Amino acid sequence: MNASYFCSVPYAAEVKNRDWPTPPALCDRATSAKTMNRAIEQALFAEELGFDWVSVSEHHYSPRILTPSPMIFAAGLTQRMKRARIALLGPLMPLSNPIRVAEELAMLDAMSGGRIIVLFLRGTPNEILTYRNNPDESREMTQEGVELILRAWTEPQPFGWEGRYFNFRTVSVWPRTVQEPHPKVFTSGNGPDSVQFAARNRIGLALSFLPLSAVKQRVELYHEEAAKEGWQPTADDVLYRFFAHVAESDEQAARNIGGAKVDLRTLFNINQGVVDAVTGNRPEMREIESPFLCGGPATVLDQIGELRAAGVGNMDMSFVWPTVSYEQQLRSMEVMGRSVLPQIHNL
Amino acid sequence: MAQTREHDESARSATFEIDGVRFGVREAGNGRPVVVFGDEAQAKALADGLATHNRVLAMEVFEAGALRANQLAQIAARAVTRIGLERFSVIGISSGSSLALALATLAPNQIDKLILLSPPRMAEFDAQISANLGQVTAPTLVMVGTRDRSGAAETMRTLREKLPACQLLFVYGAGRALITDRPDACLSPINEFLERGIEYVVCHESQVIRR
Repeated sequence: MNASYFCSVPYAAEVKNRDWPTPPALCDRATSAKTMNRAIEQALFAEELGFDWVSVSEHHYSPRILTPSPMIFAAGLTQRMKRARIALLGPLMPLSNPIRVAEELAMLDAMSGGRIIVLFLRGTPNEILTYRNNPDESREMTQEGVELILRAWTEPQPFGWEGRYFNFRTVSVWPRTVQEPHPKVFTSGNGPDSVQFAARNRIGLALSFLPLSAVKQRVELYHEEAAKEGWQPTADDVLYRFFAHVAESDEQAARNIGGAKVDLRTLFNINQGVVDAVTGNRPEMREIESPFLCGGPATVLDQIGELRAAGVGNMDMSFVWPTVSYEQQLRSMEVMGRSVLPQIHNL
Repeated sequence: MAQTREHDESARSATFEIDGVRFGVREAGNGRPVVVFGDEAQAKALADGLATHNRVLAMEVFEAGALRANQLAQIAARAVTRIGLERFSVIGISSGSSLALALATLAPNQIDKLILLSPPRMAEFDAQISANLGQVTAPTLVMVGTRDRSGAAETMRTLREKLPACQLLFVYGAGRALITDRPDACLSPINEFLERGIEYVVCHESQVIRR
């Protein structure tokens, strides 16, 4: 089992406004710099604690996650982190030029000595508003973008691409990725169509914030669809992102999370009509009653064992929770690193 | 040498024979002459789409017997001359790519542009054609669908290495039947390539959103 620390880069001060987009006037310029420096230190701390990966994501226009360009943050990490892999989970395809993404990821793979992992996503519902993409086409755009990037990384000759959403007459990516044929790639498998897409293209499956029963169901479907395509995924091909909180004891963990919930549907204040227009059927957009991993080290080890039994080989953990302070997050990471991680690598 | 020719002007189609090889030609449109070899259904769909700007001559070859592609290409070159074409573009669809490519090696001065759609594996080409690829002078476009698992993409890469001016184009979501799978995605670049050759890589479409 690989453990990934989700370096979410939250704004390093409190912002009470939960509107999306959040007004830039509320962003203190000095705090911008402090946020980036603090997040890099947190990533280095995760590496020191033994996390296998540090992950970054792409989000826009809000203080929750300050990496509108995960590539730039990852570039900084490549020059400071020496061991752990850097996982871009991930670039948002509908918002991007896929060839530019292929080029930048190849640069990152070279800069990190071949330590890049990537998950291509279509974005949370609000993200589709960022550059005014059509939400009804975001899945198809993402899938075409992924196929184009895989082709750009592997074709030995310059080529053109006549797509539905992307059209290029000359593609010839330099530098090539250090990893051959390319960095490990995941796509979202929260919906059944996406599971089939991952199986058809022989790429990894990433799930996020689903209940364990749904994780098991998606992984089973992934195995069935892959068998139809003539291959057999392993646990290394499955990634699951969730909230985690580890304390010295179950009782301490329960006190820290304090009965708070996270409702992914209402994280932001957005005009309801707009939300209805962009959300669609997204099974991960739900209310989460407690972190998926929650408790003292022994309990958390059992929970990780269940996850492994469900076919998951990579877990990406966010230590952010509404009632958990920044200092408690660091402590939670530390308990995870010192008391849990040494025991999971052979799972 | 027995030669016969039967005209049907209303349908703009004809059949004739050269050295025992019988040819059928269906003609549509006006403009730059484009000879098409290969799969009948694909050729018809292609002709319908190209006839606005081109004089499309879809050629079928009957009764070719045991002739090798290179020998057949010599006869086809005479057939094209008989139709009255001096300089023309040629499109090969699937197995028709073999004859189109052979013609481009035999009569390089006559070929304006060469376009190959879903070509077969290199091993299926006549060895003499493969040996003569360096003689092709026409700007070449090779198109393959991203869902084509036949080995066409490997052929495309080899041609890019061996031909002097060769552009490759993947058609997303299409299988071997490129034209019927994604008609617009094929006709647009083919029309552009016939008109502009290698310069089709330059975008002249306006990027203004609103004036």
